[in-house]
Amino acid sequence: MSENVLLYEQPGPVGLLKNRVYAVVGGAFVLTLLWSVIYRLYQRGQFDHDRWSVFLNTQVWGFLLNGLYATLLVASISGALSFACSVPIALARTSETYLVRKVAEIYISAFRAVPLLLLILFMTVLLPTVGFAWPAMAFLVVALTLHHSALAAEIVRSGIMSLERGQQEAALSIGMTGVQSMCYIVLPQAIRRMMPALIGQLLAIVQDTSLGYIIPYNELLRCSQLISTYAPQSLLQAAFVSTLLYGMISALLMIVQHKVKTRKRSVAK
Amino acid sequence: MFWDYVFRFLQGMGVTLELSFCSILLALLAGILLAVMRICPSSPLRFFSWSYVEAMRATPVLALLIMVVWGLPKLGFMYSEFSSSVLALGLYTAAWVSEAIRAGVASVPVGQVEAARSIGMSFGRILHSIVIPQAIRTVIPSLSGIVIVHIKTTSVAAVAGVLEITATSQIINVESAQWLWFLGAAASYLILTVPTGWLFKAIEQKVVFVR
Amino acid sequence: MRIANLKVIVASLVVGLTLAGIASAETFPSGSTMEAIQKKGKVVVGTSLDGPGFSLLNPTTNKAEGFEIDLAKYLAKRLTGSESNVEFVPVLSANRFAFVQTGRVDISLATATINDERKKIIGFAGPYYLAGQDVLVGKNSNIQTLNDLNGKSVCVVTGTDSAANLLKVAPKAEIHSLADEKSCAEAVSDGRFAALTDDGAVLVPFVKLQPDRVRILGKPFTKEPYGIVVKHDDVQFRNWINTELETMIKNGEWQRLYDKDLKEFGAAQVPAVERY
Repeated sequence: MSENVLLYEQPGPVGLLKNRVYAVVGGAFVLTLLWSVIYRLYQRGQFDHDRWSVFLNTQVWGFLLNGLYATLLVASISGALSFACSVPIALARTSETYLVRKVAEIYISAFRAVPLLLLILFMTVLLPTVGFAWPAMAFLVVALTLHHSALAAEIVRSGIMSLERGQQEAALSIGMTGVQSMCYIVLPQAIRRMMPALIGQLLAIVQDTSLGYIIPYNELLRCSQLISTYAPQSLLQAAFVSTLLYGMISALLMIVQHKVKTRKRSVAK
Repeated sequence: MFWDYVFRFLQGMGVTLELSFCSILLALLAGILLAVMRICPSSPLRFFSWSYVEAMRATPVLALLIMVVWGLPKLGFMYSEFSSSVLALGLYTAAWVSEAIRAGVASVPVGQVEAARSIGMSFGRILHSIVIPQAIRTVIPSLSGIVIVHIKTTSVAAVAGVLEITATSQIINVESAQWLWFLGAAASYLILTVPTGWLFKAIEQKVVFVR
Repeated sequence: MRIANLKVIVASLVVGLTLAGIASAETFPSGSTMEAIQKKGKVVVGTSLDGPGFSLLNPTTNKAEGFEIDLAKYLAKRLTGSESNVEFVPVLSANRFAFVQTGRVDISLATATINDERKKIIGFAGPYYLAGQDVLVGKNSNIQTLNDLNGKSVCVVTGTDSAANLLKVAPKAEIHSLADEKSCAEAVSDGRFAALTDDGAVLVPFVKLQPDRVRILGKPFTKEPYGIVVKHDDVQFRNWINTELETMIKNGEWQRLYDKDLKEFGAAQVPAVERY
């Protein structure tokens, strides 16, 4: 935020006063906005006890946490698989063989261009007809992996490209083969550089598991909506609670991402 | 029967186009507003903008859509599912837009701003003549990526009942049990996103001047 | 002699009980779906888990409950010997047929109406319940008859035939299609749409849960017999299920389950199993 101080002069006494006024006015504006929304909800009875009472039941929380567990399970499996697949794809994308490179390019373009929801629907409809009678979770994991491995491959590729050529040349000059230089020199550094972006991908995967709502698969969002079938007056409340849970996981991941970013900066390159 | 399906499919494409256009407009306006709030002197506004962006990053689009589409009527605003989806999607992408703009502004070398200040330019003047022209160089490519991702994100509006491409192809598939429509749906997203990429490339050529 | 008699008695008892044990696991004609399910050890049932009264996953107990659930459990008992050998797979109206066609589930119990169009692509056993399509409107709405729906926004569920049936009686109604009943009902109770049309049996729970927000017109305008969905050409399986249903109806089991799950849905209309 240092650019704030630089975009305008260090404020003098009048400037400081003005800033204080801005702060108060700005704060008042934001608070009024929030207050009007909350008050409106209150007026409409959205804070009534009977709407929230379903969440006083520990069994219901157990049900929700089951959904959370399902979400985390899918996210971690897809995350691991996407990452594992992204490295070979990124390598293929930077390969010198024309055919390999083209195939990787097509794979990446194809799975980046198709919306994830469409891919999930498509797989759930198509694959069973050719014999894959898998449980819903499998379709979700496969679709997530296909889509996010393409995205992650792009990230890894940009990491590889960002490394100076000198590294690879030096490795080759001491007698390492291309493969060895990749595995021991280039990839570890590239991946370490791209760690924050890759964690960002994991964050996106966690959020995209919510698309399992459509299949239907009992992940967190769907569980919260099932609760609202049992108690339809709590539809909004259930969605809000599940959003909070998603927010908590995302916050954790964002903290990890921030830590990785700052640790990178402090460690000498 | 087949031509009836094709017609409905084209209607779905039209709806997606409309949905994307309206929500991107909203996202750009809100994103610029948020970016300005992020660098303005008032710290509550800065805090609000920062927390808004972080909240949107932490929320799945689908959850946001459900809360907006089913929540607004409860607040008394009887918007159609189309309008509510535009609102939800626009608010979601506004966070990404504001981040892109902020990164663009931060990419302008600090020395430029210092020099401008040392010759006495005011805040507004600095923004207008120094920061924005150079920030655009970074912002437009990021925006291009954001818009393309946004067009694909509009597919979640299918859950809200908006009859865009994904919803139409699902309904047609239920009626006719031919899954080729999904391939058509994928193709139509390509038809929408590839020209958008070209459009942004053209804008880049026009607006960005390389030093 | 007495000891010998005792041994004979004990031996015959043992043999008899063992035979009885084996016999209660019914043998099915080889190659039939029933035998395959019995070998598999469990029945995979597609059901919505989203419809109170018929099929609902109760979040406070994490157990599925409802009329269709109990029917499935009964069939599981007859096929594999135990009620708990059943796996419920959640389905949406949009894919409840596809899942059976592709073998993802053995049967689908998802408030599916039997009609001739559908008989072309899948098979139905039953009916196990007789419903009629009805309309849900807001409590204070002034819609009284089906004609009033012309020009109004009406919500239906994707993958059902509700829209087609409604358009026959109110051709100018504006149809909106959402993914599930609950979303539609909430939208109507909020006032976003004027009405929701679906089978009366599906609508009743919404009125029970929010009687001050919605009401049903109460004039069913179609006959909706619910059938158990099986594969299209599996006549053997279909007939077997039909026999089981007939037995249930005859010996009062059907009525017992109805009273257990659907008591508040009104008087029971006992269905007559249709074989075709």
